[in-house]
Amino acid sequence: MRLSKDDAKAIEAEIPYLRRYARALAGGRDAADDLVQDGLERAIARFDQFQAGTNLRAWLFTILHNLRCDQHRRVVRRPIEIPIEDAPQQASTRASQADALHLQDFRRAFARLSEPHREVLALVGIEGLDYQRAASVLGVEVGTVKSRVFRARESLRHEQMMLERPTPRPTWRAAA
Amino acid sequence: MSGSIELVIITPTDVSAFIDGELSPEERRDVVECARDDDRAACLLRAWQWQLGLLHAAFGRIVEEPTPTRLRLASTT
Repeated sequence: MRLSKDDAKAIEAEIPYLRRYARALAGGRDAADDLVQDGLERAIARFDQFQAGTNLRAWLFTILHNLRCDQHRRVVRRPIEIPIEDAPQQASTRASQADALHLQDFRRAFARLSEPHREVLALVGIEGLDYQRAASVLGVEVGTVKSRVFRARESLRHEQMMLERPTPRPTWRAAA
Repeated sequence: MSGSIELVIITPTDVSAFIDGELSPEERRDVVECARDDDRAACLLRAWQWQLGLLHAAFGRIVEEPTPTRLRLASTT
């Protein structure tokens, strides 16, 4: 399928958002960009299926979501890794070292979530999709998105606490 | 006692939906009132709002990164 110049431009404008969403799904920058690249190829090949006037970004997110589902069927997934150097550059010089460390911990906690939880937090929390749109990207009911966001928040809070409070070591106490 | 007391139950899922702007004005008001009276609801609300801020801080700026050459459309088409 040959894209018109305008269509190509419209898709290109969404690439930064696709990369961000993919980063939450796939973890490292390279794995995320691989996913985006596959997604773009599929989007271009199937662009005739895109309904003009509907939300292009959501359509592209749907493609990435489906690609991930296909990948899951093929391989057993390990938890994603978020490499240290993969943290987006903190351009802000105000951010103190402590903040940077805190964010790194937070990314680690996020990476420990299940993919459906990472995905729903990325769509709703980061990308700002409403539940209706997130539901259509994920191919689930709106009520499922509502409860999944809630459970994802709780899992993330749990992971954050686990990182903040390392498990205490057993302490030896001699018998009285 | 006259009149009926309307029992409004707020669940953690409602608090979560509140943060995402998915509640009607009346439901929003109920959550705000609940958080004013109930420490657990207030605590949850604060924790999740803080979490949302961290989510943006951790991932938000990725959109500002330049698009790698291999993802430019000229190289995929």
